[in-house]
Order: sequence, then C-alpha cells, then structure tokens
Amino acid sequence: MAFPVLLVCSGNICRSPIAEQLLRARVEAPVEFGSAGTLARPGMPMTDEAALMSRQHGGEPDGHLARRVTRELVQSSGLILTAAREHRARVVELFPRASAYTFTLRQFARLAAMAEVPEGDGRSVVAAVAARRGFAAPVAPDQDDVPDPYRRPLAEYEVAAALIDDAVRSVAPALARVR
Amino acid sequence: MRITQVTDAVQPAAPESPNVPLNLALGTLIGLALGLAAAVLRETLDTHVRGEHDVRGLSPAPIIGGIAFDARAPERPLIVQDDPRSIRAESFRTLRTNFQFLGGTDQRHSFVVTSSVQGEGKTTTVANLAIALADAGRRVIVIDADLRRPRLADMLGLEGAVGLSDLLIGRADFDDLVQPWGSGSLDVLPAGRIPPNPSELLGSSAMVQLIARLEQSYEYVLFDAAPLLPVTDAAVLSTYVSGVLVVVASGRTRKAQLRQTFAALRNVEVTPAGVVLTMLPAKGPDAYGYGYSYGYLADPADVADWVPASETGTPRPAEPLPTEPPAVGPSAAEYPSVLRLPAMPAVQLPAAVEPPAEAPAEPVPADRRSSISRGARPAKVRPQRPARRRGRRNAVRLRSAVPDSGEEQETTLEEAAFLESESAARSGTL
Repeated sequence: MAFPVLLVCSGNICRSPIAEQLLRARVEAPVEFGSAGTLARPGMPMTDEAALMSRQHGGEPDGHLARRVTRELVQSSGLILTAAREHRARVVELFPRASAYTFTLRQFARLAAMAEVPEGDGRSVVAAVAARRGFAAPVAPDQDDVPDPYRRPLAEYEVAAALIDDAVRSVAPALARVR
Repeated sequence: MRITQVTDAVQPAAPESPNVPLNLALGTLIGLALGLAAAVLRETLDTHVRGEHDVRGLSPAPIIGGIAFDARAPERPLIVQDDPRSIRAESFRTLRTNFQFLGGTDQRHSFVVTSSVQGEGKTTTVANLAIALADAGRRVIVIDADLRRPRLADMLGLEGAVGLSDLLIGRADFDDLVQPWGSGSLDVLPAGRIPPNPSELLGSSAMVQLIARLEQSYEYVLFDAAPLLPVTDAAVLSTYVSGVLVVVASGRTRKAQLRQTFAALRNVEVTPAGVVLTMLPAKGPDAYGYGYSYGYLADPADVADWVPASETGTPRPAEPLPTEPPAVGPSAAEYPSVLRLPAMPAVQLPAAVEPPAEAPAEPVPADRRSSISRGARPAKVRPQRPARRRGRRNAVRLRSAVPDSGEEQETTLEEAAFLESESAARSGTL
C-alpha cells in the first residue's frame, strides 16, 4: 500500500496543490500525495496563477478540486506537510497524535536536508527526519512558512512557488527512500 | 643713594611649584580613594544578584549549577545539543550531575523549574538539563507547565498547539499528546492551548494524577513553570512535585525579588531543592567556577601525550578522557557536600557515578584545548595539577576499574530487583 502524504494549506487552491503536484512529479516511490485546506471550499479549482506556477515548475495542475481537511484525513495520513505553522497547529488540534508526523513543508525540508534517511517504510523515513528536530540552530519562525499568495499579484505567487520548489528539492529525496 | 650688590641671585635649580612627586603621590592616593569609594558605593547600591555570594546569603538551597552568559544564547538555546563541547554545554552537564544527587534516595524525581521573574532562562535551563539527562541515558519527560507564555515547544522545534492543557481538561490522552524528541530517551509535552485559568488547571486533581503517573514511567519529570512572583502557578505546582529548582539570572534578578521568591515558596511550605545561576559573567569575581573543569588540560605539553597521534584534533570515540579522571575524587558515598559546586570534585563525580559510556561523549578537540587553557585562570588551574598527575599515573588502573565498579552497581541493583521479585513470587505461592 502506498504511503499517504497530505499537503495542507488554507484554501487548498494555491500552495498545497502546487506542493502536491511538484512532489508527485518528482518522487518515484510508493507514496501517494493528496492535499486539503483548513478553510477550503470543496470543489474549487486552483487559481489560474497557481496552476501556471505548478506547470512552470513541472507539476500537472489539471483536475485539482479543493477539499476540507478532516480528522479522518489527518488520522489516515502517514506524513502531513503544511504551508505554514498555523495549518500545522490546526491539523494537530484535529488529531493530537498527528504531532508526530505533521511538519511545515519548509521545516520538513530543512530537517530532511540534515537527516541521514535510511530506506524503509514511510513511517521509518518520517521518524528519521523527525529525530533531527532541535538539532539545528533554530530559525526565525517565518522561515518555516510559505506566505499565502491568494489574491495577490503574480510576483507573490512566484515567491511562494519558488519557496515550495526549493523545499520540494529537499523533501523529494527523503520521500524517495520510502519502500 | 648707592646701590650695591650684596650677593648674586641664585638661579633655582628646580621649580618651587608644581611639586611633581608630591602631586603625583597625592593624585594617586586621592584617585585610589575615589575609585574605592565609587566601587563601594556601587556595590552597596547594586540591588541585583551578581553571583554566587549574593545568592548564598539569601537562599536556603544550595547552588547546583552556574551557566555562563552567552550573547548568542537566543540564537542557539539548545547548546548541549548544538555544541556539546562548548563550555556552556559543559556547565549544563555539571548541572545534570549535581541535579542527579538532589533526589537522594527518594523514589520521586519530579521537579519544577521556575524563577522570580520572566526572562531568567528557565526554559533554556530546563531544555538543556533534560537533553543532558537524556544523553546520559535517563528516561526524561519535560513538560511545559507555563500555560501563560509557553516557549518550550518552539525552542525544541515541536508543534505546541496541543499539550498539557488539553490533557488536563480531558480533551486528549497522554499518549496522543506526548512527543518524542531527538533520537534519545527524551519526551516532551508542550503546553497546548492557553487556558483562561492556568492556576486552577495546574492545581486540579488531574494534574496530581498526571504527576503520579509520570513519576512511574520516567526517571525524571521536569516542569517548565511560569515565574513565581507575577503569578501563582509555579507555587501551586511546586507543592505536588518532589523538588523545585529556582533559576536566578545574574545581573537581572534583584535581591529583593529573590527574597520574595523564597518567601513565596516558604508560604506554600516548599524548600527549594537547588538554585541555578544563569547569565553569569565569563570573567571577574562573579565568574562561577568558569573553566575549572578544564583545569586538567591547562598545560598543553601535558595534554599532548593523551592525544593519540592518529587522531589529533578529532573527537576520540572510545578512550576515557583525561577531563574527568573518574576515581580520583572521593566516592559518592564519602563525598561530603556534592552541592557545593565551586569545590572541584563535583565535576569529577559524574564519571564515577554515571554509566561508563558517558565519559567518551565529551571529547575536546585540540584547538579548543588551547583556547580553554588560555582562558583558564592560573589560580584555579594550579591546584588541579596533582590530581591530574595522579589520575594519569593511575590511568591504566582506572580504565579497568571504572567500568567494573559501574557493572558492580548494576549487578547489585539487578540482584536487589531479582531478590525482590523472587520474594514476591514466593510470598505469592505461599
């Protein structure tokens, strides 16, 4: 069974679908990517700018429909990567046990870049990365977040997409170790 | 009228005034007196706790640790993890050693870490102490009981949205909320959502039950609590645990505040178990035993023959380090006052008491040695020399002796447990 990874942001129409699509395009492993939003209106498509960003970075944005993050969804995921700390907090509040496998995307990228990830099932990969928490010098809190570009000029989308692309470069090799 | 010359005018060889030697002497004296007066005045008017001697006069508890000030501390608070070879990390390990003696034979090892006011280094101290204990193989849980301004989760890089408060109101189970940290034996329970009534929550029966339960499953239970003076949380909590550690920041805490802090604890009939001094100056009279643990390494020539040629400058994994010649100090049993920290032997104790695997975890690279020996004060260094020499002469014996003694302790413990279980089984069958 594929290891379920969930990407979470607010509306599930900008940041989380971009990250989901970039990861899907770059990870060749039995990992299944999905996304959801803490405030999402179910059925909404990605914004045009977000779809453009995803395509520019090699993602496949067609057919994405927004959905709301639920307790069941959190519970059934093996790894949850959020756009910002606020989403991490919301996810953990839905299902406290998820604190063991919920990170912000950039936090997980930073930890994964430091970790020696052994090949193994998804759970062990996440545990190896999570064990790096606290080892590195702490960063400014906003260094863990991808700012929300929704209803902002295209330049903001480009900033967000670049941050996501950068994080995915570190996350993808770690997830590629999943067997 | 006739004018005659009586004598020749004598040209003075030296000026009548100013009298340079006199002026110099007077100036020096007056200058000294003024300086002295200023110093005395400053000392008497200074209401801050500066160092050990200030705390000694106020505190009913021994000082069990001193942490040097580090301007970079906010950037890298977890120094034990971040830079284990730094002197600050070493002082946290010394704190750990002394801390381990606090409980004595008491089975309960739950401690509240608090301070007079905020910003004295509670969270930094508790986090580093917990990591140091976990490094020594202890099963530790650290709980953020500061339900007003929780900082622990952020410092440890964990999500703190759910935690203690959710547990106390029954919104979630302990197993759901506790988060493992690092690869060691450290668990963390963040504060959770900030409740409107922290004192009531911390004083609830759920809290009492939680502490009892944690004491069962962990060797050390550490609470990071709110400061004592502004709010009552820590005082409430301190009546439920086996000990209280008071963090005192040098140059930040006022003596009057510290007095009130101890009074607040006295009011709830709690005697603090120990005081930890933080933000101590690195130099000067208040520098607290700074660098003394490296006294052994003071002479680089002496150090040289301890470093395997192949590994100069790299951490050595397996060999016992000269930093802590284990059996040179008195044994734990005959050691009179573990808690009088500036006395040297406290540092030597850990290796004698802790599992032998501990000593090699603290290698000192050659470049650091030299910098340390430069920083070490000769007065502190010199008395160490005989001890080190002895340690060195006994090195071979020590190497075999220490693990033995460690094993001996373990066997006796195991035997005790075995005997206990056996007698229990026997009484069961009877």
